[in-house]
Amino acid sequence: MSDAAIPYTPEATSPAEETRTARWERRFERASDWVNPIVIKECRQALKSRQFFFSFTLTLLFCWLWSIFGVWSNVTTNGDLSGQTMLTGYLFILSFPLIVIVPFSAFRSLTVEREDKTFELLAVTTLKPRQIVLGKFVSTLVQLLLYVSGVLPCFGFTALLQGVDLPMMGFLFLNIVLGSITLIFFCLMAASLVQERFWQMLMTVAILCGLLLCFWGGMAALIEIRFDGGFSNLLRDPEFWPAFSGILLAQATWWLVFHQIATSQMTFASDNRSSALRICLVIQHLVYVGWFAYLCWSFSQRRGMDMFRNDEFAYMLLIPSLIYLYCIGTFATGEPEVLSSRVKRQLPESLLGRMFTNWFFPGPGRGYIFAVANYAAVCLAVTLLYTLIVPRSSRPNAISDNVVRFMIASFGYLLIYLGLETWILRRVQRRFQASLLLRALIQVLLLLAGLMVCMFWEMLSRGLNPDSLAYYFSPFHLLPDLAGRNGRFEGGEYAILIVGVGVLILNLPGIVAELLQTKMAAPARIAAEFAAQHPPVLPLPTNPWDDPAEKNPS
Amino acid sequence: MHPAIEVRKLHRFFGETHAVNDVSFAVKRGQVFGFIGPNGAGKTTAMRILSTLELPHYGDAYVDGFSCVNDPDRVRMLLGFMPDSYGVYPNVNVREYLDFFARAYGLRGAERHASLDRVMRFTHLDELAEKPITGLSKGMKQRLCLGRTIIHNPAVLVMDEPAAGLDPRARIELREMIRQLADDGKTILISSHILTELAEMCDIVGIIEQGRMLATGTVDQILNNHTQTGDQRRSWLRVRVLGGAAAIVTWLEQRPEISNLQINGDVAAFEFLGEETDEAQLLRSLIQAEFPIHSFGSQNKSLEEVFMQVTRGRIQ
Repeated sequence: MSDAAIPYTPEATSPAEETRTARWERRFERASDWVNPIVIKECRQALKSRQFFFSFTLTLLFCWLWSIFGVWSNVTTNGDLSGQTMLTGYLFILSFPLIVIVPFSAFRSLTVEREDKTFELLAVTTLKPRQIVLGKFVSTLVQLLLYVSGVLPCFGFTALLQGVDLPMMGFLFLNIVLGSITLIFFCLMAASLVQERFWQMLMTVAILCGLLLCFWGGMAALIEIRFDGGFSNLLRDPEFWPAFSGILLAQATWWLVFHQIATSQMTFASDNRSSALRICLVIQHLVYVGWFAYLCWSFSQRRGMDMFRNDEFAYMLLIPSLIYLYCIGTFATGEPEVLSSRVKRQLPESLLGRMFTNWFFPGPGRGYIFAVANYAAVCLAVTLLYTLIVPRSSRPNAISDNVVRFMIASFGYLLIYLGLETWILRRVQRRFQASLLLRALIQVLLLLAGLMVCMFWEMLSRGLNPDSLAYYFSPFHLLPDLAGRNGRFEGGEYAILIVGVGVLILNLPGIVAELLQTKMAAPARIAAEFAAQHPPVLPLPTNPWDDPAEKNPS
Repeated sequence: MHPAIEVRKLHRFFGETHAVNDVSFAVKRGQVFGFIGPNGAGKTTAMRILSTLELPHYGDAYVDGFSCVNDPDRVRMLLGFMPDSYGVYPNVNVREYLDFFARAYGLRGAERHASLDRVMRFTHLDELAEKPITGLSKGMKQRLCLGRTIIHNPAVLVMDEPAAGLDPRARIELREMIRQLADDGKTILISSHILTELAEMCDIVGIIEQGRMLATGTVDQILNNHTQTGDQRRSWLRVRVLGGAAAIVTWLEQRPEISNLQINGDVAAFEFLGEETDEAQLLRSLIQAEFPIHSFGSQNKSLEEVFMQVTRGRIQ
């Protein structure tokens, strides 16, 4: 079956004979070479599927029925029909496929690959996991656009009625489309997490219920806005745009993170699954901090610096960051401690590289330091915000003692919980690979253990007191106290920090062992191939008599 | 020069089960390697590691010198994997299916068209190009899967039970295609339960049981290796006695070097412990004892018999 045995002879046609259709077909065919193969395959499949046919037909049918009802209603009520009512109806009809059907089909398209064992066939091709995820996403986006194109004429019809303007329509429409995209990415991520049939079934039910809830929640919000003085008031609110920009940024960064999680899950086990994800998480966190800075600036423009008198702004930055980094740490600390040779080839060589980029590589110790260092950076940012930016005149002390105590205690807790998990998982991983579920379970058990310690401490020190139930059931014992500015335990935060540092020291041998893993050279054949693909760039001549080749004979 | 396939001290665990236990072998370019073993022996796991679908716990596998663990992307370009399931998509026809995989392997433009035409002609699917895959028979689906495996013209093919569940005609057709691929210089690693077919097709075979490679080599080499007990040679002998072999049963049973005696009419077959000179001595003794010996010789074993002799039918 050699190539030479059966030569390829394309059917020769002269340009004159070629019809216009054939010419366009040829152009499309050529262009399709540059399109993600998954998109082509998925579109071919989806457009022929009964599920798409029925759901699309039903969407159109409901739009027509709603339009006929609108016209009939307008005639019978002498033209009193509100455009907003019609728009709400159309949005309702469009939202179901966009919020339920399209994301669910994205979820199914990936889970079916595993069920039918076709994912293995994809995995052994030269397609990258990123291409697979993006291919699934784009093909779902094509479906989304088809639904939108089907309903769009109805929106045009609504614009002719009273009570609806284009910005309002565009705003609502944009929100539904963006929400749908977020759900598509979320569903793709969820599908990539489950590989066994039992978990797939469970996840399918959970996703379906979640999507239906999103749909009903979204519709309830839509109706709420509709009856709460109309859309225009919302757009005129000065605090609307800072909040809306936050929502947009949050969605965009979650797309990035969901996409990267799905990609990492599909990446071959010996490859680097962590670095790109950790970079995405840092970007997301930085965007949040940046947005928060914009929010502070925006509010201070209207309300002055006095608003920083209370500590709420500090807690608004600290508490979400703490929860976020705690969750990241829970999963990052469960990675295998020994890097594969493939990953070792990517390790940094320089001192600066080892200092700053090492933490983005896989490994429990690296994950632990990644989470706590990021939280330390947030604490530093809050300290700088209050000491440098907020003028001293606006508050007696640049930063309140309670905020400082909160930062110390929360940092200590992060060191303790993530450190203990790292220590336990390091021992578990030597026997078997800990799943995501096991990592989460260990963290839950640690929290329960922490809760027990705190409960005993509280009962011993204060006795059973119904007023302090919040402290009995808090594994982060001091935090409610500090955030509530009660400050009951003087110096308690230092005790937590000392314990945290103790746990860090307990993990230090493991962290050092991870850092001692050095860069490994690629095999000679691969290095030679890489060198051939990336030839050294010769400097351009600085005058007509210079020949760069002579200066660099190599 | 690297071997086309090299497996070095491969280990893979599934919980307590040691699915692949210290498996090593090498396949030279252009050779066909038959991977045989009972169900659950570790064949599929070893093949999946080689196809970059699983990661070994210890050891490594190489395709043309590229590590399946550290350079899976290079291995994927060189290797075509045909799993034991069809792996077909609904709502696509034969041409669309193959076209997708051609694109997935990075083939573009004329190269993709050429590859599609070549593969469809080779698998005789050109007449079914527009037929939906769901309407194909098992044999056609298997041909389609073979087409998918060779769409990017890989140098190495890994086939896991390609003939399973096929009718005799489809099996023969598939065997012919595989033989043609082998003649074309492809290195093939194939597992099958139909040992007679493997014996015809394979240059070398590897017998695996309970995750351990029990024997590797040509059928004759394995046979020779397994006819050695300690320092002594063990062989199967066949004696035809005129008037019925029952006459020599008592005589043969008294000799300690003879075991596993089987009588079938005139023919007595048994296992003999000893060198060729001892065989000659045995024949002389039989003639001296005045038995009417018609013929005397060693009995060639089939791959099935070797397999049965080497394996013990244990599962993990």
